[in-house]
Amino acid sequence: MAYVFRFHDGKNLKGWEDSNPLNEVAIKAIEDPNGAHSSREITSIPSPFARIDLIKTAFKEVANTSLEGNTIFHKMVSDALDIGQIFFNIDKYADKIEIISWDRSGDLQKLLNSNNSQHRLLGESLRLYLEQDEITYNFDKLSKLYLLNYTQGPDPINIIGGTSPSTFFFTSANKYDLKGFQEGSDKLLDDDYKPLHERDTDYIKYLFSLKSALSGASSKMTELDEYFNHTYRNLPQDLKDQLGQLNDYYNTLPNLNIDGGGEIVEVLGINLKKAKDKKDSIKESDFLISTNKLLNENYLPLVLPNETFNASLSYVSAPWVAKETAPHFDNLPLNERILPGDGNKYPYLTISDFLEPVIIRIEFPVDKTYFQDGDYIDSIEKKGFLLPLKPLYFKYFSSESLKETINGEKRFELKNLANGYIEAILRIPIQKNHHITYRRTYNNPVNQAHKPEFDLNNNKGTIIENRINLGITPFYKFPDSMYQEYNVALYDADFLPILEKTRYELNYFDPYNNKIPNEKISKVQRRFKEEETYNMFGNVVKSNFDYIQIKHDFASGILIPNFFSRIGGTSQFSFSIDFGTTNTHIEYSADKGKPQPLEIEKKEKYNIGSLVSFSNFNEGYLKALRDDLLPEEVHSEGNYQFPQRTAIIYHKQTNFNKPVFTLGNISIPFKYEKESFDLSSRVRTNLKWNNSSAENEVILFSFFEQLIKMIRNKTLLNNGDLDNTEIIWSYPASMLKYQRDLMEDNWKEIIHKYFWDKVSIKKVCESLTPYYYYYKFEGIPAMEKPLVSIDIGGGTSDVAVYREEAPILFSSYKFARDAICGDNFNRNININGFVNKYYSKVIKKLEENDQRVLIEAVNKIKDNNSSHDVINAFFSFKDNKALNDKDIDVDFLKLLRTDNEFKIIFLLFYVSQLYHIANLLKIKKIPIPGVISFSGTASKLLSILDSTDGHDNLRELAEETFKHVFELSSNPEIDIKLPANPKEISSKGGLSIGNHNLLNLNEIKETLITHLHLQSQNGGRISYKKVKDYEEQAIESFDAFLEFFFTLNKSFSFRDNFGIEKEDLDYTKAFLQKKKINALKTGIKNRLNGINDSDEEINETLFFYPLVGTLGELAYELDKKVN
Amino acid sequence: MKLFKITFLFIFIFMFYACQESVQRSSEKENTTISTSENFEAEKSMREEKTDSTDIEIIDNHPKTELNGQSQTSNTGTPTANQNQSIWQIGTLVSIILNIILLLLLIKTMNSLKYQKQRKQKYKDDIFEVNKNASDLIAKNSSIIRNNNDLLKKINSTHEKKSVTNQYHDDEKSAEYIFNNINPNPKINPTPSSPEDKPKAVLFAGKPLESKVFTAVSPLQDEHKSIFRLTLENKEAYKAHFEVVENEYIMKMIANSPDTYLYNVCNPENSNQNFDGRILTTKKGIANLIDGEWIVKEENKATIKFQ
Repeated sequence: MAYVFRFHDGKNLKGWEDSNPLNEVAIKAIEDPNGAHSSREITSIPSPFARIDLIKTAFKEVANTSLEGNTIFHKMVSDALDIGQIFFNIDKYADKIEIISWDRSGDLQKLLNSNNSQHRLLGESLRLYLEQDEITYNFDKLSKLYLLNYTQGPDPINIIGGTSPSTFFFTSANKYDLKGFQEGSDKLLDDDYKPLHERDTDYIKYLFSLKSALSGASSKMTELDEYFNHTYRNLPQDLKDQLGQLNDYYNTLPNLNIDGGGEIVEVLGINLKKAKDKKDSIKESDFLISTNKLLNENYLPLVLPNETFNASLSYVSAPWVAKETAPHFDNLPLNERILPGDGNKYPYLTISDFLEPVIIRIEFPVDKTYFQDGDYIDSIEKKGFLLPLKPLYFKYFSSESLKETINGEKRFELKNLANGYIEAILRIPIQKNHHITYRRTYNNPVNQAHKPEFDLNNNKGTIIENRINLGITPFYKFPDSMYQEYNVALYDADFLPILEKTRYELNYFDPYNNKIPNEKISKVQRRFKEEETYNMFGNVVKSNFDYIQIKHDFASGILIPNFFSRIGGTSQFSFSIDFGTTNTHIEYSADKGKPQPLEIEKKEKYNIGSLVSFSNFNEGYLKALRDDLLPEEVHSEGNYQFPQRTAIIYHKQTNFNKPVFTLGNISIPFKYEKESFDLSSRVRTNLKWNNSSAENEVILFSFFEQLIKMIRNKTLLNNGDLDNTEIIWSYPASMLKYQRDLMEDNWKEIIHKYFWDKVSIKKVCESLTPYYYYYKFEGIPAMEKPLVSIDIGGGTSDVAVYREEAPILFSSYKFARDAICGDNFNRNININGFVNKYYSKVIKKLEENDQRVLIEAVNKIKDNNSSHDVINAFFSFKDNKALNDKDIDVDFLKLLRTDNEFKIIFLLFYVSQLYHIANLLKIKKIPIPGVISFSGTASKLLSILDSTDGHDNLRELAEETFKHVFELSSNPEIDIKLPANPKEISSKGGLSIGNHNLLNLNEIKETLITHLHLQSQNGGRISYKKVKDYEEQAIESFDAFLEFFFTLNKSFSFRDNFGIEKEDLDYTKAFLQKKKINALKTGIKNRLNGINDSDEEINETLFFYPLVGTLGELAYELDKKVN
Repeated sequence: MKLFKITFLFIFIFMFYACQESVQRSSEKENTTISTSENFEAEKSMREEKTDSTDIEIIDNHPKTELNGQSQTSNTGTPTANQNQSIWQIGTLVSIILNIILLLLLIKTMNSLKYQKQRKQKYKDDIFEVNKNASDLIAKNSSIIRNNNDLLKKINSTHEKKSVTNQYHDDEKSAEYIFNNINPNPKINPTPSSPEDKPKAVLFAGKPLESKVFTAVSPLQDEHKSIFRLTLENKEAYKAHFEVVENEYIMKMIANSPDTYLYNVCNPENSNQNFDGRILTTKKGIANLIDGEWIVKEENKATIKFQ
């Protein structure tokens, strides 16, 4: 039997017979040899009308079989829906797609009228189709076709599909290698067919609303309508509900325009719409970051997992696929990023946005009291790490968040792995109480000689080790209403060659993650690697900050200080500052309580904090914090305490014409006289208020400023109220008014800066305060019998006489400790009797007790050729903690007490003062005092003569002296007050002085030029021009004193009471007689050199000049005589 | 060295006999009138001695030919007294010349050994230089340092156990060990020939604690951490002399913070403010190995001077 070549079944024809036209049944009967499973497009009829028909047929076929399948019909339906989705999300594909409009009337006519016969033929064919099938395909209502051109295709025109009057959309069957066409996890126009009900909800709603908008859609697009009906049945109920309430949904969508504006794309007169900005729907994603900060951002970023993520959370239009992972790194700016696996442009964050590629390891563990350490536990290497976080983290989360947990796990942690590797784990909260876990492993570098190597694309970090430390003072958060200022010191002790030229950068960020502007940060370098093997960079940050980013050429890290926040309170604090040339002391009282020395107690741990504990680890670059900022403890039982030597330390090349920053590149050296100093620093002692050089002013200002900062810390860390604080500063009586005014300006400027304006500031003459201590705390009044208060300092002694509880007389003279131990009248350390006699003894004692540190400290001081400083250092050993802890007794006073040779000097010192005061009182007709009290550091010297509690020797000497001067027949009763801590008396008294600052000292000031001449005796004033006229009387006064002094030995045996041998007494007498005139003249000459104008009135007695110029030499000679 | 000693010993013995024989021959010459029996005895005695000489010759081949010749002569004929005398005189002369040659050789050998020792030291220094250059691998790498410390602990413990981990403890040996890795043919005797020649071991230590215990003791010098050089009499010694290393970085560091780095184990002769680039150890200190830690007693502190 012959084979009939035809597709369809039917009656066999013989010869020329009429056949029936193919109807639907016949067509259906045609067997598809591939069983409709071909994935190859049907392209035998290359016309849009054929494609329109094929798609129409495909919708019908799929609707009649199953929505899901892999036949060619499913492919065509899926592709047509893809085209529709591209139209819908046209903005997303704007860079790849253009819409070409074909106008039936215009463009067809152009073809028909073309001179090109081929064009005309095409036009004729199109017209034929359009007219012939106008009912079947709604061509009668077609005015325009819109074609999608893939602009990145191989040809100038690459049509991938267009609008269809039968099914809304059709495909071209052209196969292109399309990239970047993806909706959710579905790649468009690929071989994976996706039915409508599995597509993006918005798209489904759009198509249903589009169909609704088309009047008579069920009849005009029957196949599509059937497909939609089937689709509806497969939709989840909530979507069905939404479709049931679409109402005006169609109209809420924006029209789809060509090129973003102009012509609206339509099908059968119904405008196509496009999706609302997808960002609005994406920000509903479950992966949206869950921040606890109020950010003024419309579109917060998504946080996408870079490892398997099993929670079923909605991503953009579909749930996140567990096996999918986001990249570890995206180099596009946040707003330019394309969501992985989706294709929408929307900001999302990767692990590399939060974690640094290089983690900074430091030589010692982080002190977790002061800084967050990522809960890192290292029992092997004992090292620490900076947090490898990027500032972006803090845009969304507070620094405190790192200490929190999320879903039972730590927000951030650093873990030890094998081989010294470190794993950083960061958990970022997203929606629905989920979180994304980011992990990054940091490997040990193979070779630290090369720059650290990392691979962000593969999430491999690396470690770099830096020898750094950072200290901050104060370590608390300031209230907004307070002046905010931190001193930050960064130490860089790196020695690796690759880090040689690396400069560190510190960036400070406020709680809103804003970088503190440079205008609020002053920077200075205090130490230099080439000198000390480490750099110190000082920053003064005038703002609160939340965290610090440390950066250098190869890495960045974050430091989060655990600032103390509960500062201040209601307690009233009073501080009394006794600024002395040699020593400075501060007393304070809280709520009018008992005065006590200013201390930084260990429990007040927020005065200063450091990254690495400088107490626990012994390295030079760690311990320098104590010198450059503050010691962690200033306490009477500690290494450092008040009274503190009045000294300042700075780099020896500091240029004082440039800005100098307290606790930046200048500070108080609390270790002076106790420890060694580095080689590049210079210590300045004996800070004088009467030196008006610019350098001295800066130094004084810095000294005051550090004291005030410490006082502020004390107040705030002990529940004090800054506004209710009282600060009393004292000044020496000898200070001139203009000097006092300058000093007052300084104090006010500094105090107001740190305490604002409400603080109470008082000034008081330091010589007047001791009485108030005795009055208030020891109940010693000055009523009928006067009280004489003698304040013996380093260079000056001040005498104040009180009666009826008020000062009635004041006098001052330069006869104090320096007259004995210093280098007066052009003497020097090499011919200082005390240094010569005791230096080797003290050093030997220290050597025997292995006190090398102290020896070095004394050596350094001696190198400055100041006997004054050396003797001061000797005296300081008594209170030295290192010695006391080891029960090593280096008490210089005790040594002097047993030195009978030198005792005559102290005896002269004491009796001469009393003799002069007695004469002053007598000439002023003031009664003999009932009490003589001593204060000032140098009054300790009197205990060399008498260290008993009752001070009988001192008392008897005083009584004998007053008896002689007042020419009495019997000794008067005089009580002697010599406290164990005489320096503190002035400050303590300052706290009790009330409104004394109103007193005009000049009104009671008096100078007894000689014992016959009072400055104010005749109403006039005696100037230095006439000083020579008083030389003779001065010598007479001195002779009278010597006569009295050596006669006194008969009634009060110096040998019995002090062990002074007659030989020494005779030698001294002869020595003084011999030297007195020369000493007096030198004293006058020096005084004249020290004044600006010879018209200046004589303001100190001439009586002591012979002693000032001889006692030092006498000590030297007495020592030489013995040896 | 051994060969030289044996040869020298042999020549010495030969000389001794030769001289004795010569003296004996001289006395025989003087006593030619002595009886025949005496001559016979003397001849017999001489023969015996020649036999003895032959026995000694077996030990060394050098003089063998010559002496064998002599021996043959004496065995094959009957020599006259003069002949015998001249033979012994020649022998003596030869011995002296040989001795001189051997002495010269000995001096040369000693110089050679000294040179070798110097080279060995140079190699050691080179190796430390290599170590310095590869400090990124050794000194900086904390894990290696940790290993070293671990090894050191082991070494310290082995002092008590007398076991064999000496290659890290014995500086010279460790130097050779590394050297061998660099040069496959080092001409350094790996084992000392006598107990007195045992090489001194060297360790390096970091900062001392307040308890006067050295930290970071290691056979390898870390140019940024090693402050002291500890020299041990030998690898198993419990006592070491220590001094401050001469290293620019270290000296700069410790001179600025002497309290931290020096004074726990050093007494300064002057203030650190005198530092001008050098810290001289004017008297080495002594550290003792106690319970695995190198500790300095107060009286054993070093004395240093800042220059």
